[in-house]
Amino acid sequence: MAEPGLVAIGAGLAIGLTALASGLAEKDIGTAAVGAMAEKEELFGKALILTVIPETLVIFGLVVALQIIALAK
Amino acid sequence: MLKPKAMCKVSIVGSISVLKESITVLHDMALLHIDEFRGSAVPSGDYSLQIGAPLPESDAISSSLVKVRSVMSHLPKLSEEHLRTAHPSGAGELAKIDQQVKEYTDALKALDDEKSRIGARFAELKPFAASGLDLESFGDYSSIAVFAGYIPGRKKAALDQIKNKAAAKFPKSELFLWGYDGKTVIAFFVELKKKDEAREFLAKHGYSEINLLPLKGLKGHAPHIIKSLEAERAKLEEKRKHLEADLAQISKNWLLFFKKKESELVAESEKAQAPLKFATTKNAFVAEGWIPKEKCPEVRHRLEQATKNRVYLEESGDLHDAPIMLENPKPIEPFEFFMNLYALPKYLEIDPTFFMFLTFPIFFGMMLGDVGYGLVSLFIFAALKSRFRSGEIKSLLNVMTLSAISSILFGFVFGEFFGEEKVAGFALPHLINRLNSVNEMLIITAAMGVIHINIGFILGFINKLKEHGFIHALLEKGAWLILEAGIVLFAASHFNYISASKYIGIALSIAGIALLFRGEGIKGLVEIPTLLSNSLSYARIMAVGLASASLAVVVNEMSGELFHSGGVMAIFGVVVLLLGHTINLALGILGPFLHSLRLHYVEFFTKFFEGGGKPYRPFGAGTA
Repeated sequence: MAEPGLVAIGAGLAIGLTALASGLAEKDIGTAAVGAMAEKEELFGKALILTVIPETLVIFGLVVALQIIALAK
Repeated sequence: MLKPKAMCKVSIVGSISVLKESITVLHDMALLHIDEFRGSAVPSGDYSLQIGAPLPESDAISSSLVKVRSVMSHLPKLSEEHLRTAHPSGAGELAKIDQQVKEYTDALKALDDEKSRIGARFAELKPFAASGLDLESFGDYSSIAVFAGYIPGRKKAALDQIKNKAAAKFPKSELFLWGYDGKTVIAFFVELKKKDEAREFLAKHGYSEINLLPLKGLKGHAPHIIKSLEAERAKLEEKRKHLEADLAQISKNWLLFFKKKESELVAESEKAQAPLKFATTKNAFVAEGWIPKEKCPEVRHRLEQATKNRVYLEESGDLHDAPIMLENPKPIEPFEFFMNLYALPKYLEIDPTFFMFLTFPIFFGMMLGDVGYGLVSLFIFAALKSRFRSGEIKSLLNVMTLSAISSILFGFVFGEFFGEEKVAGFALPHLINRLNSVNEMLIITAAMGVIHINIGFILGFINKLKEHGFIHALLEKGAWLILEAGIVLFAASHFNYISASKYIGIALSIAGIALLFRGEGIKGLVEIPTLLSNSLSYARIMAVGLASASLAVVVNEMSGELFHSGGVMAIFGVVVLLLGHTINLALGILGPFLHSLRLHYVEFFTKFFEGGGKPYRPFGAGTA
């Protein structure tokens, strides 16, 4: 049985840090994507995809966080 | 469904003497997507192929088009119900209308010029309106110099000081000061021989001169002149109104006619310019392009009929770069919107519209998954739908309507109504509770991901099979399926679900990896971990849904507490409830839409879809 407080901190770190990472990555991609779309509007589909690719990071974070919380039970 | 509309590649060869007839037939039928001829490397001569010249009437059509458009640009725009269709009795009448419109616009222009002249005059006169001086006094004198201009400052004491100083320095002078537009205007009359000294004196007080030339020859006080000018301007305004009314009348009678004429001329000019896309020799022309397969015989028949068999239409087999016209049954059609947004499939590729129709609403519904939100969004989309008759927005709304219905269904699965699990005391029945069974949802969504991705691999296998044959298909797509089967077998035997040696699974996995390496090289090996990350990515269906459901619960609890406090707090409770659910619904539509789309574009399409087909744009369809 793990310490619930530490488990909560661990889960929080898992999702918080991955969310930060997704945000940082998407910031750069999004900037470039909007720039490219200003030049060529048909790129919307590709731009959207490229922008949301790092989103998977935070999903992993969530999954890991949920698994960590399961430790406390 | 699953395939773009079948096309056939045609070469239309004919005698140049029937070029015009052939173009007319093709334009009227609006079925041929022309492949532009871009010239050939063969040296020119009577029998080499060259880009065709436009039909001789092309210039005349273009100039008529310019004329019609110029007339239209002068006619005031009116709403459709005001327009009547007039039919000209001949070219003479048209020329007359043209002339009339020109006269009216010229007259309007003259009026506007006159008006702006009067406006300029106003600007010149206004500074002198409060002077109380006759404008004649600003004329030329033989022995007096006249200065008129602005000086800074409006304080009476300072102005008096200037006045006194001037009187002391120039005994034979007169100085007037008055205010205009927040500034002070000065008029200074002084003997001619002291002109330079006076200028120096004024300059010291920050004087800036007004040009007096426009006032030359004017008599009387400025306010009088301004009044008469205003009367003149009112008259011009009146005249202008009459002219405009007349012009509106012409527009009422003729605008619709000119609009029709314009579209006719645009069609004519398209026809006249068509030979620029054909290859021609001295005596023949060749047009290449694409026609929907079922229409081929009809086009051939009509061409032969119109040209008395002097045109020959040949079908050829290579369909690799045929233009794409997506073809799906009515309920699936709106999902073509997503293909247009992303990329059209190539001709031999599978059109994934049908699969998006199957899974997009499911993913969306699982994320929003609330009876209340589903009903509200269904109502919103249905209301919006009646405002758009056609076009992309209509398709999008159709898609969203389906997704909203799916949300309602999943709302029953999860037993949620605006985040509540009880409605009026009744607990909603549910199959699974999203908020409590997070782990089960995680497994369900990841499993859905595995299924979805494998459908993608199978489609990819079929695509490769059609395009490059079995070996390619096996190496590039089949290898993934074998690898997956190997992993599953290994896991099943390792955890004793089946009684088989786990080495079978390992062997199968290695075989899959080897095939993959053979097919795609290092790149393929690097991509192996994406099997895991792509399937886990479908956990977002659980994650987004969880967030949306929790937010709804939070809103309900907050407003519930406020209701219990009673009094003014209850009003706040209503505000929190409405605002909270509105925001959550907005997020709950946007988020699931984007995430569902992303799951298709990124996780699903990358398994089989290449895209890059060019859209089918038949000659003559734009103006029909």
